[in-house]
Amino acid sequence: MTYVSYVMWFTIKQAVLSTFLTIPLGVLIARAIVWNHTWGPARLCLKLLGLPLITPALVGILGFIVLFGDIFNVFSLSGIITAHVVFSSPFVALFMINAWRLIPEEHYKLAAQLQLSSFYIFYYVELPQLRKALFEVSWICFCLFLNSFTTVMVLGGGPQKTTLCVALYQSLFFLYNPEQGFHFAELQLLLTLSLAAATFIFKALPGGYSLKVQTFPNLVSSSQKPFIWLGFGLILFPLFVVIVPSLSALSQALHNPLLWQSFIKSLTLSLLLGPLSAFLTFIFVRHEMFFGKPLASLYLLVPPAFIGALLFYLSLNMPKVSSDVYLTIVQLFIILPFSFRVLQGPYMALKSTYGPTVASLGLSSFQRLRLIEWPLLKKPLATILGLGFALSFGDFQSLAFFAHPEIPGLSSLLYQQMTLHFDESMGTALILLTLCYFLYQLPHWILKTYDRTYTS
Amino acid sequence: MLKYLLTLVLLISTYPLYGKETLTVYTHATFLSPSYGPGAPLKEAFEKTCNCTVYYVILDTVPLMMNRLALEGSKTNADVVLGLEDMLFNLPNIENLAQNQSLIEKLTPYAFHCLAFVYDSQKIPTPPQSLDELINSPYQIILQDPRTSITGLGFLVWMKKAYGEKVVQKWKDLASHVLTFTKGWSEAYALFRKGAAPIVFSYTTDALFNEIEEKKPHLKALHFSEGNLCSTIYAGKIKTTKHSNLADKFLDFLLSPEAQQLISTHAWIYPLEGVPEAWLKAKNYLPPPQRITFSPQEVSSSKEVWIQEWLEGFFK
Amino acid sequence: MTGLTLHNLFFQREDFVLDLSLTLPKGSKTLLVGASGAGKSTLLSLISGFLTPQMGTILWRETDLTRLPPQNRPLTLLFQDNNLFPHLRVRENVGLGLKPSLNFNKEEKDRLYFILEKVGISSLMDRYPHELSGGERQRAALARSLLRKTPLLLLDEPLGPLGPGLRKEMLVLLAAIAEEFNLTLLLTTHQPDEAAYLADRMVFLEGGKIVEEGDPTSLLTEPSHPFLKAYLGC
Repeated sequence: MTYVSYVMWFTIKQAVLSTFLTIPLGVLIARAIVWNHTWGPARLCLKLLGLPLITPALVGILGFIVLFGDIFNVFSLSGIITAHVVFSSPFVALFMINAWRLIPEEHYKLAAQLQLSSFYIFYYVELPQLRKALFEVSWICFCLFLNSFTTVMVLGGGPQKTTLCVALYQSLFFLYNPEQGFHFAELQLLLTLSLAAATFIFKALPGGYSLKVQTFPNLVSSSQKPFIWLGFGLILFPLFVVIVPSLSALSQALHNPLLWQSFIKSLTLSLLLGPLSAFLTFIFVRHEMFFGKPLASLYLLVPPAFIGALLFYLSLNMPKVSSDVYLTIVQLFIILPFSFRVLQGPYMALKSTYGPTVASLGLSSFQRLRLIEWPLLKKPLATILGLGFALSFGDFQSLAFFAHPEIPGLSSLLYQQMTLHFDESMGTALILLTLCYFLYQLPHWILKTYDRTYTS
Repeated sequence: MLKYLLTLVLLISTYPLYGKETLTVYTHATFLSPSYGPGAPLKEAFEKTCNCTVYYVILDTVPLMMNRLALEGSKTNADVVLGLEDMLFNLPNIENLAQNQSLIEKLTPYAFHCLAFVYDSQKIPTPPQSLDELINSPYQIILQDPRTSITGLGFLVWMKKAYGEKVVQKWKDLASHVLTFTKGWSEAYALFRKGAAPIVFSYTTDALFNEIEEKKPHLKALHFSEGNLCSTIYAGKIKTTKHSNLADKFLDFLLSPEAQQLISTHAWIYPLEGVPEAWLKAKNYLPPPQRITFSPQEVSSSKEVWIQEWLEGFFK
Repeated sequence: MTGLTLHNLFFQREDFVLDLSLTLPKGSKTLLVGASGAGKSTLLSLISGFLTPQMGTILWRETDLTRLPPQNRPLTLLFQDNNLFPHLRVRENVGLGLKPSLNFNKEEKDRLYFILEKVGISSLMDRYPHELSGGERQRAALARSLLRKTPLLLLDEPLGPLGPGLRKEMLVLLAAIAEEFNLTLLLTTHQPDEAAYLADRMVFLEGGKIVEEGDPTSLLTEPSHPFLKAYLGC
């Protein structure tokens, strides 16, 4: 086996294992929440499920290392897989809960009358109707794990534990070996194309948006409540173990002048990327541009590391263009698929409800925006603005390619500190985390929409 | 619209940083570690002698620093680089170097260190006495990736020097008990300190650091009978520097007794002259080991091949 | 003989209050009529146990059902829609009324077939719900409730999705089945005139209260309460 094919094999192996462990856990959490959805902790847990999506990946991994570092060697295949499971199962739960809402409430009432046990309800009522969603979310997870960058970068990264993305990055930045990088890029392209083909053949990506107002069945199942606590644990523990020691490390971190420069850099980028990505998303969705839908699934298929590497080649040949331009492009590429998915559902719902009325009134584009779209889409627009802020502020992948070490940007600084000044890194992590959440909420406060969940 | 926004980023990201003359020094992360890096005290001491600011740009490891410099080429802001080692290029002949690494105008050696396996004597009462014994031992070992770590590269050279043609087989023998290859020395040492494995590839002087600074005299270094691999550490002046005089001054400063003292007591590497008093008194102190010799020229020309051999040993 | 007794039943959720007493003789067939939001579905949910009243009692003959979970009540509730699981064949959907494992012995298979025959869909037993018409789906759901042998059958708008011809057919079938199996029926409908000849009683609900009840034919021809008059449009 050549080294390149070894990397390919490892990439697929870790993705398959991660997927097989993440999905059941996510489903158990989702089911526990659905079955106890009137219970206070379950409602809170549901609101928190979106949190890992806006938590900076590095902060999560830092917490993961603190939490599990003493239990087993986290810098290993099992560490990578466990981290994937911890960070992705809340997303799986969120996705599955949205699918659960599509099961008619009557089916649960029937099942109750027919005295079906919990197992039979899962078998006859839930599983068959969730099968499509399960397949979709498994596919999404598999793609995300295949293209996993930050987790593998921190917990793997050595020659034995590397994915194509990370190997591609390493051959450029560690070895200064663009030729080998090119091999990995070719393989990555091959992988991406086969994923795209498979997605197309199996129709594995979530398609339509249901406009029905969905309700949860009226159920109670105390025996499932432990999974809700588990969900809390997965989401909150990695954050708590960072936040608590970070308070004492904060003053040390604040004394680092590099922190402030990085902070300003990250904040500037974020304040630019938020409005820019929201604006572009709105334009794409509103004009139903043909590339909108592929764009939403692009993130799954084409890893940002691949885009980063391509742009990096480009930057070597066009040294006059500032690396910040490339940085902006990679970040847009990371944010747009998410914000697109958030906005498209509400926009389509709006269009199908009021579209004909609006058309018959003959409103101009601007009037349509001011009178109809702005008031009714304020909340999802605030969400995508917040997402743009938060994802840009917390992203590590784009910085890994285009941050200059002189002013590395917060995530990049944190990455450096994690291996060297572990204590100080906690302080940096706290600043990163707090600002990320603050920036996400900011548009909701300003626009007075008070959204505390991010639901896709 | 997009164009204006991008211009805005450009403007913001290039805002000027300082007023005083600034010396931009590229260095690797270990150099600035609060517990075993001389970066901060050196900066303080040098700034007292000049009306200037030393600004460190921190790269993760020495090879990454070199890659960065190569990537930036003549655009680099660096005036000085610290932490270069002779195994990275054709050293003794600076004219050759000037061709290969044309960015560096002048090199000043300021210290040296010797590589060694550091082990926990509480877990391993009778440690291996030679490289061969170590390879055949059952102990888990933490090593560094030779592609990204200068320490790891050192081990690669050492293995090749010791085994020549048979090195692939030796890598295979070692593969069964390598815990991990870390990106840099710092990660490896952090893992070792957390007890992830009883042996780590590091430096002879770590035993002194562990005894004097950490009060853990049981973490000792192995001096092998056949000798250890040592290398000299250099500071380099970048050709494109706009602060040529200041850079020269800094290089000279590194050789002053004050700087030499700071380097040995903070970085835990051997100064060019005079070993600190405290070291001589330490139980773990051993004189610098016998040196395994290598030619930097050979390293620079064969490095790629040796790395392929290493990969083969682990993946074929 | 007394069948179902609702005694001072009180249920409140947000603005809506339901407060009523009602007695259905065993074997009776009762129409529950009222505008949207009058509380028809809520009442059926309370009787079947999917909602719990704040006060009052629900009795089936001498048994107090008020605190029993839905599966232990001697009744079946049929919905306007979604009575069948989309991924199961008709015989499996109906067979769930016998036992969830769906491993039937000879006797059970015979009984399943007998019931399917009774509601007239035995020839469709291998089809999936989406291959059936609306009326056939309702028959399958009815067949399942017969297998469960519960004496009380609650139907929430069973005629809703059906065209006029099918509604008539369904009503005839319901009447015959109720006679044969000695069922007590309570059904809600928006077409009281069509359903009138099936039922022996009619209850008119408005704002969570019973405003009028009695013989359907006379109520329909001579409604006395103004709400009922307005509802019927006369």
